[in-house]
Amino acid sequence: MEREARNGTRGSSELGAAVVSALIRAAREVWGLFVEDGSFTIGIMICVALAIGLLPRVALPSPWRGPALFAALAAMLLENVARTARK
Amino acid sequence: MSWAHVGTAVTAAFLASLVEFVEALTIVLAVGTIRGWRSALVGTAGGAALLTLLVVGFGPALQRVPLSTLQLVVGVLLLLFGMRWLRKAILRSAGVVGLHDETAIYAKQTAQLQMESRASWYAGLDGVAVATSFKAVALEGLEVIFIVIATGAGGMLLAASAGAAIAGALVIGVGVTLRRPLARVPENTLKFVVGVLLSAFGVFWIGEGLGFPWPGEDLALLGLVAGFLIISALGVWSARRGTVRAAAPSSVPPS
Repeated sequence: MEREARNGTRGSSELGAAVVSALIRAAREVWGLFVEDGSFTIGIMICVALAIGLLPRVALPSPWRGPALFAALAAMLLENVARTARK
Repeated sequence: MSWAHVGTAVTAAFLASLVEFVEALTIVLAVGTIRGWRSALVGTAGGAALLTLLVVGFGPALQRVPLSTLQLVVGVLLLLFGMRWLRKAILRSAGVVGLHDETAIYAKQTAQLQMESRASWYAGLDGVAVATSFKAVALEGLEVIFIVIATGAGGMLLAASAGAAIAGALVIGVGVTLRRPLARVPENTLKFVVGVLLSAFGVFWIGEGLGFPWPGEDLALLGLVAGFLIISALGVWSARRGTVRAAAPSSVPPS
């Protein structure tokens, strides 16, 4: 009976470990949909943060705020692909 | 809402979903051919059921989120997703990264599935086959849902859903008829175009979410698409130059 109980505990802990590992794998896959190159993702987030925090405070005419965000992202994309190609 | 906006939403959802459906189909076909169609279809149905639950569960909740917040969050996610695709497509076009090849992926997947032990899991089903096709359908389908929500965020969910549904019907129809991976779909070119469209949508929604008035209003979306196309062409040119320079021997003579 004791062995059965031990086997049961081992079985449930193995199942738990398998579930946790499957969840971690799934989370990694979902994360991978958005993030591939860490520095590139950080760059995009910095551009967005600047658009949220800085653009409304600078004396830039409103219709130019969106194009300014585009320009920052475009410059970052060009820098990243050029750097990756040189590696 | 303009025709430029509706047309861009349908096109973006159609093209992006087409890529995702082709990727899922490649894996399901490999599983079905090697491990049996019953297990492959059970996994596919399971993945589709999970996606349906997610849409039914979270879909109505999305309508309660204020539009500006939704546009900002979706815009950021779309930008991360789209620019990741665009960066990879540029590097592939420049020859820095290998091209995506459905035939090679199919061959790799079938070889891997042939090596896995064939242990019966439940009611004669093959556990590895069910899990592999479930994962492929659930993950690629999750991307399709995200793309539909993102491209239809400005009240064009129906148009974006129609684009994705047409892509799904097309890929499933051709896949069932041919029973082999759709290698002739120019996936790298599609990813390039979709990366451009999704990035343009991402910037546009972030601007809308933050209340930036776009010059030309909705037509600015077409301007952003053109802008990202020009930047991508520049990126391919610059990456090609970078690769050639890195490969060239040093001009400094050895001492």
